[in-house]
Amino acid sequence: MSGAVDFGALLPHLEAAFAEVAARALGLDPVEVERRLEEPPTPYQGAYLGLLAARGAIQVGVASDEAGCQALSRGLLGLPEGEPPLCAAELADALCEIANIVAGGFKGRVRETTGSLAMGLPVFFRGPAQPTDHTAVRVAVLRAGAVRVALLLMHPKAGKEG
Amino acid sequence: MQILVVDDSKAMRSIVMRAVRQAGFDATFVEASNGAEALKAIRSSSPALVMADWNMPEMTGIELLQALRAEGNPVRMGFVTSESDPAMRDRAFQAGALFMLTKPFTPDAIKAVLGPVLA
Repeated sequence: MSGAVDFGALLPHLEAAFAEVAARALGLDPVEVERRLEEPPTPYQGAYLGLLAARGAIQVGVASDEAGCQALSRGLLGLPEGEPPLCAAELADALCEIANIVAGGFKGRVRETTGSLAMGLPVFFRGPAQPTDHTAVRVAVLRAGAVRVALLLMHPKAGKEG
Repeated sequence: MQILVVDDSKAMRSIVMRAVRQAGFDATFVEASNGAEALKAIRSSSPALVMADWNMPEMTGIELLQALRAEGNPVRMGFVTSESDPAMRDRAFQAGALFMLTKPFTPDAIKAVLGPVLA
């Protein structure tokens, strides 16, 4: 990934990838972008995974609150309203799969900008993604149906790849 | 007809199995959570078809396919994956994959890829 990548320009591609998954796999429609941030929202939980390039890496994630994560997971599994909540392991598994599918769509959309990216395995997290001296986070807060979702794009700060 | 569904996500395995049934195929299922587990299952149960994810811990889907062909196992296999990279598709088909279905998929897409394979 070259230092010339405009990471801010990648966020709409992540939004588009999520919107496709929301409509086709989660039954959450429409998807509207409410705002874009450069700091992580709290308190959130979700899943993220790394996309590795020859130089540097980015992480993309899907997060929401507990109720939102339950709704996203139920959507993926095709479970009707009124079903008992998914247990923690089921929730983590479903969120990781959602992040995986979204990341795949994102990867395809940004291929010409970033070059080839290798997908890592998704990880479930609770709490905010914490930017460091070397990394920055960009967030799109969306409403998907009745669910508020945060999409996370964590990337190296300019000149600090690797 | 027995289908082996290989994915590290239990949720995705259940979605694939449901989609196959909804597409009208009369199948029973065996599950594995990575390529290494799948290799053992294939050696012991000889499924009619393997539907595997690409990115999995321990042994990936393409490593599974390559291992099967290296030991001369001709089991029919395709990928159900979030990957859509053309180079990966080429690699899959060169290794002997019958299809590469991209997530998220529709029931019609399942029908379209499995119809010719299971005819």
